Amino acid sequence: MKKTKIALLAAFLLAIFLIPVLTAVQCLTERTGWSDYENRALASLPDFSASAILSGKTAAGIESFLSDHIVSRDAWLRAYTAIALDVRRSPVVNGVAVTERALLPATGIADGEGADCGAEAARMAASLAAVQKAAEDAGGVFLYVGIPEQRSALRGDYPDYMENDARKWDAQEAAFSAAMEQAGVPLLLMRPVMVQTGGIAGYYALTDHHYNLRGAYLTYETVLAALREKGVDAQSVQMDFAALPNPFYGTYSRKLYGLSPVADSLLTGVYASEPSYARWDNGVRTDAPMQTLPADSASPVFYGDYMQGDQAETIIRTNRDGLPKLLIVGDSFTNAFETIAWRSFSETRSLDFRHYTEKTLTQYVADYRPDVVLILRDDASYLSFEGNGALQ
Amino acid sequence: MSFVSFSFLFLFLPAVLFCYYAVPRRYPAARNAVLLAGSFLFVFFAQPAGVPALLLAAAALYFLGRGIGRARTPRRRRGLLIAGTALFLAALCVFKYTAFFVRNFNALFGTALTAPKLTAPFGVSFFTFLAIAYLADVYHGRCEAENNFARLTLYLSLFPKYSQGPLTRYPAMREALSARQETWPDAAQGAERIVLGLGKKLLLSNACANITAEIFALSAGALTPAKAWIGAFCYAWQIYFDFSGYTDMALGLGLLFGFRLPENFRDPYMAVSATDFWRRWHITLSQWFRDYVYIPLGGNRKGKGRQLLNLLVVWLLTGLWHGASWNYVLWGLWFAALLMAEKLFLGRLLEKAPGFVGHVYAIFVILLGWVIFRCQSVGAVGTYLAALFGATAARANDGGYCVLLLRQYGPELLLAAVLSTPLGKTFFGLLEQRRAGRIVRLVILLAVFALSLLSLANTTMNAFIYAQF
Repeated sequence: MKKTKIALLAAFLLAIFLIPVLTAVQCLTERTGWSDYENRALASLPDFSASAILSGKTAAGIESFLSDHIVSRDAWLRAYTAIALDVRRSPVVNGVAVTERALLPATGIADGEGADCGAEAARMAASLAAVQKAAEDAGGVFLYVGIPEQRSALRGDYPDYMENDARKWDAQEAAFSAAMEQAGVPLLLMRPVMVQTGGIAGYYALTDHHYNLRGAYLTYETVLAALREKGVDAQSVQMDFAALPNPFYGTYSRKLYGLSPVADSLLTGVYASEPSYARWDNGVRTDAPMQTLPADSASPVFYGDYMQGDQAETIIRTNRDGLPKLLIVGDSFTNAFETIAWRSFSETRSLDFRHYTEKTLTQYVADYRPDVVLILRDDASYLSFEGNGALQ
Repeated sequence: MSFVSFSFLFLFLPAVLFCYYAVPRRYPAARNAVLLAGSFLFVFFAQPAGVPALLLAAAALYFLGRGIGRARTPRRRRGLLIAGTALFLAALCVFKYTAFFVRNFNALFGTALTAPKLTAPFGVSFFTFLAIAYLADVYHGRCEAENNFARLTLYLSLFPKYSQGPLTRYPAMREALSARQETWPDAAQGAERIVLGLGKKLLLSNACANITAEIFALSAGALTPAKAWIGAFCYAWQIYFDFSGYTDMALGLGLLFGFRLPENFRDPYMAVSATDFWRRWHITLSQWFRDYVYIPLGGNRKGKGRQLLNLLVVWLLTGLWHGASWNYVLWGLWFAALLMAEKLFLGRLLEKAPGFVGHVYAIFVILLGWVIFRCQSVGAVGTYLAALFGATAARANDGGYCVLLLRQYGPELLLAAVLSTPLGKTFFGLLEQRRAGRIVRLVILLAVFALSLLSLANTTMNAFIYAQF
């Protein structure tokens, strides 16, 4: 038998026998249950009960466990990503469009989405009108704030040969704006504001699907100006920004396992003074800061460091009775906003209906009677009736 | 359990190999026992309920085979063959076609019957055909009825070929089942086939699958002719590298345990007619239908009219075998029509025409066939075929999409195009002739293996297309 044949057989057998042994050793010596890059818990050992075995769950669990805990898994994933990024120079790697300046979500072929969304927009506007009525019945004001998601804001960064979904986002926004106007529900769109104040790109993370703290601050200032026009006495605070030197694990840089060719930083706010406050997350008193700062300059930082990530309900009391009470509803875009906004209110409450299930929004408004009800959502969610779009 | 999974490659396969070779060669029955246990574990991993189904099928096959072997009168032998065939076909029909039948019955008669929720036993389409072939072979005296239940069960359940073939005949397997020689050269060849199979599936088929999944999901308004043709070509490559990749792995696994399983592919996209294509694609299934349906129906021995009718029956059944859906029936009828036309006049015309005409014709009709096969419904087939020929309203500049495809999948598409011809094998053959070439060949294979494993780690969905049939 030729030596090359022997070599291939040896390599094959070595791989299939050695990898499981090394995996077993690694599982016994290292306890890894979380993947920072993927932002998820790794599969735990499968259930070996008789019912699980007979239902096939154990077999599926074994596959999940092995694929999550295979020896040097991160190295495998990084090698695959490095080949795609540096050798193949693929425009899309692990579902991320790698552009010259930013990491964006890969898009598919345009298939007419958003072209006929008038009925959905009208339905959503009617639903929001009910919330507005509840807010006004409770003596407050209502405002819906629409924020472009990063892929929509940085649409110009997609290469020419790649679909950027601009028509879809624009069609949805136009339909939604028209429906809101017809329903008489106040809508504040941040895209034009961002474009007019120095260019929209500066307000966005380059490797994450959110805006950055500058974008959150501009939104905060614009919202407060709009509220003052409605007679709400809310004054904005001044702040500076500091970029953390730590590696920023954004939504998309995570998918590249830390090999992102795009540099990006998480911003933190620097304020002249800090009001005293008490905070409750999901009904439990907490000393958690509004932005978790890393212990050292090497630890990764995340968008979820703002407000400790998504919470079902957060209550922040500053006990300054002369200031209004704010209720804010939305997805993760509210987190960076809240990091700043609580300073302008006597009490700030935040609800995330992806997690909060105790009351409907209108019930909550009726019981709490806030001065301001703010719904803050990204433009990809305008017509979503799930989570924070399920308002009734 | 998919061959392309961590649990198969790094748990099941090493465990079975270790146990198998831990048994000294002088105990072939014990080695068979290890393989049998491994095969049952393979079925159990995929579907626990598949094990009792397999056992029942094996028991029925064993007793029916013995019954046919021992029957004293031809009438009794024939009766047992018919009863056995009917039993296995009935089981296949109940599990696979009940819901389809009820759905169509409701549509036709306006009823609201509810189909019982039945899960087809894992590999049922394949082991049913093996069982029928075995009964027919015993009946026709091509082999004796197997007296050893374990050996017959191993024939039915041997894990390398259990879920998707190749469809092996018992007479060809019998010797290997009782006494076979496992050799290092065979094992080396087996490892090479497994590596090539992994590469075909993970590096080529999956890349093509990403393209087809997107294109075949497009609405009529977005499906331009260019995209439709790209989708059709990519699906042709996807299904070829998926199924031939699986088959390479099956044959390689067989070689690791001393079995020489039959080839299932012979450069199918080099065919010069639809008839030729089916001599090159899923060869063992074509042979099964030829030997156990077409010839028993009379083949071409009873006049042209009967031959055409036989072809129609065979292709209707071939379509239905692939799935309980009208698009598969339509796909079968499409090939029935082509084969009939080729038998009547087209074959003669193609023979007289220059060689490339046959190739172009074959590729054209095969692509249309794959479109019918891939679409989820007859309506979708119509939409897609209309798009192929520019009969939809979809108009878009496809330049950007083509640039993206080439930048994203250029190497894969180029390799798919080349390796779907005999060029790859010729190149590998040339490399084999010189020492330096053999080293290059080794490096290529090791690179394919490494890239396949990296791809496996990065991919969650690796189901084979034919596993669903």
